[in-house]
Amino acid sequence: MTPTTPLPDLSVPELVEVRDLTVWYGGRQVSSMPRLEVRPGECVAVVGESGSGKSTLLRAMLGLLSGTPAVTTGSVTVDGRDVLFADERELRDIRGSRVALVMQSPQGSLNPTMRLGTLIRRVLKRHGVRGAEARERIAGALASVRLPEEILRRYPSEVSGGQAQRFAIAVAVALEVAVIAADEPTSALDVTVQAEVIGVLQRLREERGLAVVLVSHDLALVSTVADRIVVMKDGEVVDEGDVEHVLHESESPYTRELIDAVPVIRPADPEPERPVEEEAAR
Amino acid sequence: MSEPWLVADGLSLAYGRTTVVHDVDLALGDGDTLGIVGESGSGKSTLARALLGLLPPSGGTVSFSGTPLGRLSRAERGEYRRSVQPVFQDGVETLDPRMTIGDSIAEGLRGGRAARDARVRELLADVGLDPRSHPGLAQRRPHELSGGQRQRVGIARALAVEPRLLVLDEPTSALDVTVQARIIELLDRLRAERGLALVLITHDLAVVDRLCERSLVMYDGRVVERGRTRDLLTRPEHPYTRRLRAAVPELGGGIPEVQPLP
Repeated sequence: MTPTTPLPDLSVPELVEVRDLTVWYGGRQVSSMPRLEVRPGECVAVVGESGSGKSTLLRAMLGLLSGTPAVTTGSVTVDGRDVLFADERELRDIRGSRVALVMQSPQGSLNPTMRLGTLIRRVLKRHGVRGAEARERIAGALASVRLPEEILRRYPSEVSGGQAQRFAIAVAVALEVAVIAADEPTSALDVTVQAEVIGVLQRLREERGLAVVLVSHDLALVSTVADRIVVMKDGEVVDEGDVEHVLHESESPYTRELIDAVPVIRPADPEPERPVEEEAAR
Repeated sequence: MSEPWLVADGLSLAYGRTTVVHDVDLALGDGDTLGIVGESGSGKSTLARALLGLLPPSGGTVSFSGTPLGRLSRAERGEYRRSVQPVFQDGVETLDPRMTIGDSIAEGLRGGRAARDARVRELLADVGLDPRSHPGLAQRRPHELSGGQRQRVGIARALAVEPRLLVLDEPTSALDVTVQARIIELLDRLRAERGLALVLITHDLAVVDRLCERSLVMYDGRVVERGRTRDLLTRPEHPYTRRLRAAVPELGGGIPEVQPLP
């Protein structure tokens, strides 16, 4: 494995491999994904509207549905390690060292009573990283998400939504995970801040070969960053392919509907042609 | 533009001692469509509350037909209330969870039961929820509806008193994109068919492009740029407007590059 490969390389083994993943709830199938592969440096987006099952699938892929009434069948491996049959200890290890979840509301996922510095040091310590190595990793992670070290002294309530989200990503970077799984990471953010966070994810792919699984309702946004897009509706994958294919060649009526519904700013009106007399009068 | 009847003049708004909106002028007449665009903390929702008479000015005035809101007579106040109606993010805030949809809409109506029921059916049909194709809808309660249906009911309820202006605060932000597209169509139709004036508060530039002839861009409590929406979007002049415009992701476009503010 070459974790610095910037572009997907088919000779590199998958970091994430999903086969026939199905989530059942009370005997009813609520969400399923026949297959998915994510390689180092790749960004795969899963898009859909509310109730499409996209977040449920992401949680299943991270083993986060164990201990809930949901039943998961099929297989998910992260870096060759099985997620669905792992016990709680193994799962914690996979989640801390190979894959990290970044959620919609960054402030909500950070303990409000801890300074950010305490918070990130504790997470690292839990995964056996301390002392000088921890300091070095934290400094590197903050630099790669463009946050000043001064932020470590603040509490989650003292930073903006965009800073909190970049910090959540920095925690994943400091853990040296290979995959960031992000569930609507920018939906709660202002549009200018959203662009910054997407820029950060893009840079991490290029600089560190991180893979990103991005779950979002925003087709326009994911189309700017993803290599491939999976479209979900009512718990099923209805379309899948590289971005160009999904945007321009898709035969799925639902994908077309989704594309047509994306609000767009119309291009500039053509300049009105000035009457000749007026031109002459100038 | 028709004669303006809702006018903000040097309007400032404060929560306690903190002024959050500074010195805004605007004028609205029948059929006008105005976008108020900005991000969180820009003061756009506070400005909407003042136009709805929910927040008294800390400076300047909001006037209805020439009289400041604070000095309207009882009769004028009733007319102002009917003329300007709010629509909030997903209809939840304006709908009483204990009341059926039909009763919520009928609340502002006058006349006998039969006349009101007929009018409720008409209003539901106006917003694309014709009782003939949605049987039983009027008997349901807000939580039994989808987000898009609730927003349509919120609009029907606002239309019940035959307002001249709707003030919509992020009316589509909580909705799925395909649902949003239909609500935008509905608002566009109401504007075109009845000359309903719209004030649309939103962070979404594409939505104002669809619905609003003119727009204000707000940043940190101030109007930083104003004009025809088309001009603002295609030839933004203020650095903040340019930044906002550049941040909007486009289908199949590159990652938006956002320059820090100078």
